[in-house]
Amino acid sequence: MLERFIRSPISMMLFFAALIGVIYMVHYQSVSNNVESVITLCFLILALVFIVLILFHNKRNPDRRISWKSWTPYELKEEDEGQQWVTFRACRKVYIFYYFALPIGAAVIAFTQHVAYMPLVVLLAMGVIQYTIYWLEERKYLNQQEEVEE
Amino acid sequence: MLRNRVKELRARFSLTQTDLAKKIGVTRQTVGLIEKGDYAPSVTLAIKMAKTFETPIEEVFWLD
Repeated sequence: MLERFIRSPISMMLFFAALIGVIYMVHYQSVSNNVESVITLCFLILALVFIVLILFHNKRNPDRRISWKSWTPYELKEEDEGQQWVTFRACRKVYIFYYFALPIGAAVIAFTQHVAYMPLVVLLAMGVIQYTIYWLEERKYLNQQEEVEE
Repeated sequence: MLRNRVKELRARFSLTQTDLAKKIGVTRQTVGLIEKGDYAPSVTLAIKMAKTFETPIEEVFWLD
């Protein structure tokens, strides 16, 4: 359950959205230094909780440790050839999404120059859609119920 | 299209997807993907399955 949460694209999406929220509040909103400190502190606590959860998982499951050194995102499941195939399918769909989203995003930013925070909105939208596509594809194949012998 | 009798053979040997997955060294989900015909396994995995079922590989997997 814990590993599922850590490796879920939805967890990563929420984390990414929170990061964008922090950047927006700190950079584009004229908030007081106190509010800015509280928001940044909340985000750091969130990051710390995530790190503690990974440490806890690694201690309880030494054979399924989540590596700190790896540059591979946690949500990419590559335990065996079936999972690698699902990851390939999901990544392919995400690539196709970016193929169209990048030029459209660039155009949106160019045509809305008067909205200072538009690049952040575009990045947030792209991130949320990316994680959602990945999650839906992974769910389609990996969330099957066990079929017992008849 | 690659067809298979994995589900039928698994039932004959009274194995759950998890049991079979452990025997051939993959996850339960991968066994499910193969049974449903979503994923065509590698030659190595197909041979491992055929050996587990003590059946020639062409009787476990065939082209339709």
